[in-house]
Amino acid sequence: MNNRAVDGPARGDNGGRADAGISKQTDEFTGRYLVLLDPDSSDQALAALESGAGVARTQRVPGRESTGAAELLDRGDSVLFEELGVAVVDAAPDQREALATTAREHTGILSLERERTVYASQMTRTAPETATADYLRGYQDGVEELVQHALERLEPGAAQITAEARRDETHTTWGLQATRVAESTLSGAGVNVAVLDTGVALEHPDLVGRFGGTSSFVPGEDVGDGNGHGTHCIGTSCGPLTPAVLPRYGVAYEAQVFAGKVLGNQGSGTDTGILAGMNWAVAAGCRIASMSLGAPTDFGQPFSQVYEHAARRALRAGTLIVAAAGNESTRPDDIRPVGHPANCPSILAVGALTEDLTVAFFSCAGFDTDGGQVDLAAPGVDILSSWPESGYRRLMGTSMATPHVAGICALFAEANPDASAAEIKSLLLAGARRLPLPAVDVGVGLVQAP
Amino acid sequence: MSAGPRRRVTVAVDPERFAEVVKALRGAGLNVEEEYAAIAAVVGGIAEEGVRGLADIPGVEAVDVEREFRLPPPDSPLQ
Repeated sequence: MNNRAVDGPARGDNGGRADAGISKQTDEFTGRYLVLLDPDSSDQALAALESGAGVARTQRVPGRESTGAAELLDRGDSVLFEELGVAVVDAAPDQREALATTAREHTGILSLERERTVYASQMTRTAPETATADYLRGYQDGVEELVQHALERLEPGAAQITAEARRDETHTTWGLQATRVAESTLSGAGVNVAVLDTGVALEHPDLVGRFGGTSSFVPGEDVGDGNGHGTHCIGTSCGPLTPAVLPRYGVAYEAQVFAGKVLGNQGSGTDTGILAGMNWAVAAGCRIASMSLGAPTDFGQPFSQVYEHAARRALRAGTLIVAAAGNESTRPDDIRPVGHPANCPSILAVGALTEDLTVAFFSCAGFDTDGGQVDLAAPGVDILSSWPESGYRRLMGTSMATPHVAGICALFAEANPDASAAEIKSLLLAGARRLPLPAVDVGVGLVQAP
Repeated sequence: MSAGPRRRVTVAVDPERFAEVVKALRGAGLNVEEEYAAIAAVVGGIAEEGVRGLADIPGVEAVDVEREFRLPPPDSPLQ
């Protein structure tokens, strides 16, 4: 493997490696290093680290036995997290230069990075005998960042072997973590968000009092959600900061929600209802309209000119429309094109990602370059959100990915109150996290909160 | 009046002359049911043989025969 990234050991605290012999211990870094290994030659790389840099013998730690790693490190051993392909090694100041040299010269070492105290602080405050899962979670976070840093330099296929560490959903869902919503200080305050779906369970304790407007465009049905889909999507886009039951699962927790029912309780609807909902959202001054709906298309089928014109009008009037790319694929054997109306050039099409940031098996792809692209991707598997009566449910689908994007649009809109819909779209796409995945599947990448 | 099958259509029109075009659509046999001024679209029913002619009306930007959408059943894990 030729793509390698090696950080000099001292880079980051004084700008060079000239202090290799200085035993300065700052608050920023520990004396340990995270080493990302090429899985095809990790044995040779570890041997090189031992012989070339004099690091301690490496103990292999399978994922299931991660709790033992703390003790090993404390004893002075090096540790290899086998599933992650990441080693943690201790290097005294006088070993650092040799460590950096070895990392640069050995092709089996993809990246070398200093361990940061932000993660290791748990280590210094936690007695080794009590260090357990929490301790290792800190490590996982640390190596995750390293892995991500290096992933961009790897070939796309290599991404599979360095799946992200599983996220702890005690406080926030994995989707809010992966999209950095959990770290954002924005709330969507002052922004109107339309969710055009199966209505909403108005009595859900997490959603009470959040509505700027509700309307049903389904003949004979009120806006109440006899299906659940709409309540789930509204929960993801606009659910509360502190739900009745943790974890937090909603993005724009202070946005004003406009729940438009365009699909009936049985989950079916027509263009008429959907266009009616779009019209309503624009007239209500919504800066985002989220549409977790669609109809399958065939290869080469042109997009709807009616929706395209309607979406352009909406954009000019200040409403950005995001829609689900569709769930018709059964990867890897059968990959289907983006559905209607997400295949319109002026509607953002959202693909779905799994927790380890691979493309969800069902997510449609952008084969048609005339508008039918996937524009960006968002979490769409194992998505916890609100549900009528039972309270909460975990679902998967591009329907679940879409409201992540809609909620994040509301955060951009809050931060940029005078921005046009086109400008919000540009900010959204420019801020996405690039992934080592084909653009036909994920567009510009994983949506990120501002 | 044709007694043949009827179609529901959605029509995108020029927003600058919305009312004028809606009138022309009615004149061409479209029974306009909904007018969505904010997105300059209308929905209505028309005899099948009249659908093609709608696109030729000045100010009509696009005509679609209405589609149906259907979510998976609510108990499906894939939505």
